[in-house]
Amino acid sequence: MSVGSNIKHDSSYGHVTGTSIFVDDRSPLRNEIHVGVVGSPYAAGNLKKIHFEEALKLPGVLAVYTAEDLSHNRWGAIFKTQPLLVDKEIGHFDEPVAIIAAENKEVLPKARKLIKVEVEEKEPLFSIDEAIKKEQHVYKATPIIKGNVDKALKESPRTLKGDFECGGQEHFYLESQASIVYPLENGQLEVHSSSQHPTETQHLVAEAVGVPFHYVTCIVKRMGGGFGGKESQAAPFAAYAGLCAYKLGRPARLALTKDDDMAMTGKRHPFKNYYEVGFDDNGKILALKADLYSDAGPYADLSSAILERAMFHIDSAYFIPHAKITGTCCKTNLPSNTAFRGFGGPQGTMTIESIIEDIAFETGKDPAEIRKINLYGKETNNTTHYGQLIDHNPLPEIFEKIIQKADYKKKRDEINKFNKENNGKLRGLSLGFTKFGIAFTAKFLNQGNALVNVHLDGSIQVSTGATEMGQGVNTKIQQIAAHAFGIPSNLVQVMPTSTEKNHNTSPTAASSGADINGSATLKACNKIKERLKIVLHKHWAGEISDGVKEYELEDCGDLSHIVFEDQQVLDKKHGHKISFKEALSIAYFNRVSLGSYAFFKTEGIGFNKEKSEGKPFNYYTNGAAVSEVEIDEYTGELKVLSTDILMDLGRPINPGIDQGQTLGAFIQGMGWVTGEQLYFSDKGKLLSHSPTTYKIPNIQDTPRNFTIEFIENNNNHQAVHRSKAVGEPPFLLGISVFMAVKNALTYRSRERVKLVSPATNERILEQLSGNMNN
Amino acid sequence: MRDKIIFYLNGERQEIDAKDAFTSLSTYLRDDLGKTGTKVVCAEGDCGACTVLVANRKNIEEGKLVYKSLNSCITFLHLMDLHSIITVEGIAEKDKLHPVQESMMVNHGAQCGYCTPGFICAMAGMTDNLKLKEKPIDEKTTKNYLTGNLCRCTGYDSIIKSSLAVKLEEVKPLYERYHSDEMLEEFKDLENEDVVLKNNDRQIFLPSRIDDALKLKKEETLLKCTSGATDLGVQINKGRHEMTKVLSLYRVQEMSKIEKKGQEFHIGATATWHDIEKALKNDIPEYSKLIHIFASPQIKNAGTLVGNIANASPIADGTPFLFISEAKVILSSTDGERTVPVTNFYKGYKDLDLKENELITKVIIPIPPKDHFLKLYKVSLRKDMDISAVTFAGLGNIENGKIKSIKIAYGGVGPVVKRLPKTEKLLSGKEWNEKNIGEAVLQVEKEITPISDVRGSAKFRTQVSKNLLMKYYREIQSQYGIEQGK
Repeated sequence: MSVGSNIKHDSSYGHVTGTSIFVDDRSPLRNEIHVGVVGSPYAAGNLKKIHFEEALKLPGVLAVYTAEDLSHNRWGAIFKTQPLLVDKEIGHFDEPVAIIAAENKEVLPKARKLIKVEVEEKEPLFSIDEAIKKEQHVYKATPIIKGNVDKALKESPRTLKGDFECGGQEHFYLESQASIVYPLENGQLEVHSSSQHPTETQHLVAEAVGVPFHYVTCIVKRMGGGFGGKESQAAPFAAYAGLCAYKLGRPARLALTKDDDMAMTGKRHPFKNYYEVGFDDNGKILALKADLYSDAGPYADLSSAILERAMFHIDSAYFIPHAKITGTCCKTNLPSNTAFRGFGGPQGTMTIESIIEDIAFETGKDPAEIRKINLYGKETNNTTHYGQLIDHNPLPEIFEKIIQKADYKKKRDEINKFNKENNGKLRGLSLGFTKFGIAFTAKFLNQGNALVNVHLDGSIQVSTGATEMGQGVNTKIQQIAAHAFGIPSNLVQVMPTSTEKNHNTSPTAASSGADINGSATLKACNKIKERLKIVLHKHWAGEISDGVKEYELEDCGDLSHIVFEDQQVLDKKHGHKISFKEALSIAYFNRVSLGSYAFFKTEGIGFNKEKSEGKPFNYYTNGAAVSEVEIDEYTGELKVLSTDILMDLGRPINPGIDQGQTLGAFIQGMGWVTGEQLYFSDKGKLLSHSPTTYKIPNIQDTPRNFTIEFIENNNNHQAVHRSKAVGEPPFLLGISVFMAVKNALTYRSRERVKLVSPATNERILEQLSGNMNN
Repeated sequence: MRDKIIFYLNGERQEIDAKDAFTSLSTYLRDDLGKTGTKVVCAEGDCGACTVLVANRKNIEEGKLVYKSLNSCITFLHLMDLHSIITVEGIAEKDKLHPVQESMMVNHGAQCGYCTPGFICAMAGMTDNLKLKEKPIDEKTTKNYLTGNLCRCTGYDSIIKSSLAVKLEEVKPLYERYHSDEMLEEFKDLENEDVVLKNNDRQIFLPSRIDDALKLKKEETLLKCTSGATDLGVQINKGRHEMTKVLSLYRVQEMSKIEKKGQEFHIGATATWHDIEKALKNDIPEYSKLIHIFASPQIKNAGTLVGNIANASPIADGTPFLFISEAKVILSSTDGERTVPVTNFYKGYKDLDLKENELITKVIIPIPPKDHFLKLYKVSLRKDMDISAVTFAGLGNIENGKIKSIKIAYGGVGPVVKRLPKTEKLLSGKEWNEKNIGEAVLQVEKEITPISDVRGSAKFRTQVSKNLLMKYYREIQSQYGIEQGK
């Protein structure tokens, strides 16, 4: 059985041999040109003029294009307000203002240096607090309100007021933004893009050059990592290449350098969240009032949806009886922030996890105890602050198991002892949850379609809107199709994603790639199977098919006794059996279609923002992690001693892939809250624009002891084959490392520890330095 | 005199002329040969996606070429003369995958696949090395060999598991598969031949004897000297430097030597960090340990100590130790040799006591006396593969609970790496106790002039600098329990 088995990633052979083709690996075509992007030299101001005459004189430079050359110059996934190329107001440093087309890539940096951008400078704005003060925002969310928070706060025996701040994060997908556009006949364009959203890329390219959508096909074979960074922000770069290809009638290649990619594109949203929490003496939360502020950068991009997901996830895994959650996307002059694995969920969750640590400090209890008494219950206290019932809540079970598995109590005792020794090292421990809502909160995005073509030799091609970025969605789809027809998975090939085969697709995002596209695939497979069953039913019943007569597709009643197994089709009731290939042959000669298309939409979701009620999520993916850290008290350096993870992933379609997603997400989350710090100059230029200065975790940074387990859960009927989405949820478990640092610092502090994320050694040392002996 | 670079790529002989010799190896592979398995991500030797394996005659152990990992993005073709190079395309034997490839497939070691070819090369290099040394694959070794490869998808766990699952007995080593007497014979025949490549305004000199190198240094102006070019490669890739004339010393056999002479190490200008780390392991383990986290294996296989010295960066991790061990640099020219103590070598930010016609040919490191207390600390945002915010070197001579003398140097706290003479003087002759160190810590602050940048604020650097002296004291105290007067 293919579904549930730990088969290899469908690209693994290509990956290990170096034969997988990424966009910039495509062989150059005759006449192909290279495209470079010119960024703004200021973070704010009005664009006066772009002087590029000198650049045009360089041998090899073919053209320089600016906003004037675009047919349409406003884009945006939700609000179409962002220019592709600056036409008037500059939003941020290194924002694209012009593009260069050249015969070779060597001349691009030289040309760039010769292009002078004349700007009437304006005072830029770089911080959330400043934006709040000046009331600069790109979006304000409808508040989520539950109960009467003011009254509940007033009646709470204890309250805490404060703010929690977390930084941004560079995606650092290894393959930088890349596109190649081939001009076809009559103004048509074939776009190859490293994009999570081929449809949006198709649309944007068409709009930029001024052709209807059906003139443009966008094809995505694979990405060298996406993580949200290629959900909306891949499209503009495809549009730049598209414009050059269209204008010059030559294939155009744009492959950003890592430095340009990091400087030009948006990142995870930093948040600063102000809160007041009411609780009793046991640490039970009675009310939470929180005002969330994200740093959106200059444009809306996906910021509004990210903010709303942060508001939805401010409960982490805890029941909040009375809540009022507001949200604002602040407008700043930093690169326009965008989707990143977790999509606001981590920033919301981290806020309450930090509050929990503070409540523990205030009440003198172990933070795990506070977590336990606030955890969503199975029968009671199982409705979120936005009114969704948590069905089949596994959190209490997960809590008990992770405490055991991680040996939490023993670790705590040892840490208590260790920290008394004062040997220059300090340890901390924390437990963190993820209860991640699965579904796009924009309801309309929860749709997908699939095309399944069965060939006469019994092999199958499947095309869906899902894009492969390493997460294994193609492998899961391969398994779903193979499982449906009872054939080995190597007889199924998932084809490059293309807008000519699958239309109006949603981005591969929100962890829902396999849920939506896998479901659509299964539906398409089932349609073909139903036809084959009818054909075989007639065949076995001895109906005549002789060149004059043929098997007609008509209702034959219940045919569930005909099943597809081991490359055969079996009639379990009447004992017939035929090879899958032969069955296909019979169907083909009876002129029965062996291909099918299916449409899928997630049922039963929808949320009314005004009333704060409904069901934004299809279900939740849950998990917990316990992390233990050690700090060098002289330098603030951090080591993660151990992490134990427990996940509820339903019944994984591919446990190996899900394990890889979980561990990879965890480490990425750990990086976000520890060493990954974005550093901008006082002019707003990103200075940490390469791995020399921006430090993602390396192999030595992984927890010294690192374990993972899945709980058994057969109840998730909301997703294909009772699986659960996995891409984002475990990212939130990385937060446990931050909370362990915070916990460690409490051992040397008389006050609540106010730690800003990421917990770099500088920030840690800052906390400790008041307590150093010198 | 030869005007072509000769190397073997996956067993095939290649000749490169002046026109292409400045091309980076990765560009040559991808754009000229269409071997796109090798990926370029950062183009600055900091992610390992472009890792390939290389070896030359210096890397012969037990008659075999032992391949080492290298970042092909910052390696110019002119640095590859008489090398055997293996790329990801050469790891499998025709259709038969290498065991590391099989294991990475089965154990989900690849997700998006962009870093994978680099990992595959580094892992195949590891299995060769371990097989030759008859050592097993364990977790620590795996991590050490793969420190220079970044992955954003897997969280590394599946890569580590893939490595551990490889059965070394099933590995057919590259040193056997790519062994060719003919090739080695050719390398031997050609290694004493000078190579000069000229193309329009670009010139490359690859002498094989030190005298010729010195002569060139005298005759040619504006000559950029390199060996591994691990920094120059970055400067060029990032458009900060345009290379026109280069003198590369890696072919000068006698310059790569590391010799122990009495109580000194004589380290040749082209000796790599990797070789130095190994050579100093027993006599100066503390320095060896620092070199361990100095950089990635790929960089340590190419970069040199002398490069670190000549680069004159105030955050050069390798130099504070040289300041307290009172190392000397040997400067050679056609006029002869002069010896300059490292402490006098730096006159200001990137300003060296080095004449136009001189080459640094050697550095002499006295081995610190066994009964002196040496500690070297490097503080960086990430422990491995990062550039430091602050480095500390301390060497104390403590007798009968008294500080007879102490040498303290810092990096990252001023325009140059520096000793702290006032702090040293303050401590000299004092009792070895917490109170006196505490007073010295206050002096440290007065002697350093750190700045704020992407690696840390001035405030942080000051605090760390102070703390490191205290850490030095406390660690020695807890390790050796020196008896203290009341």
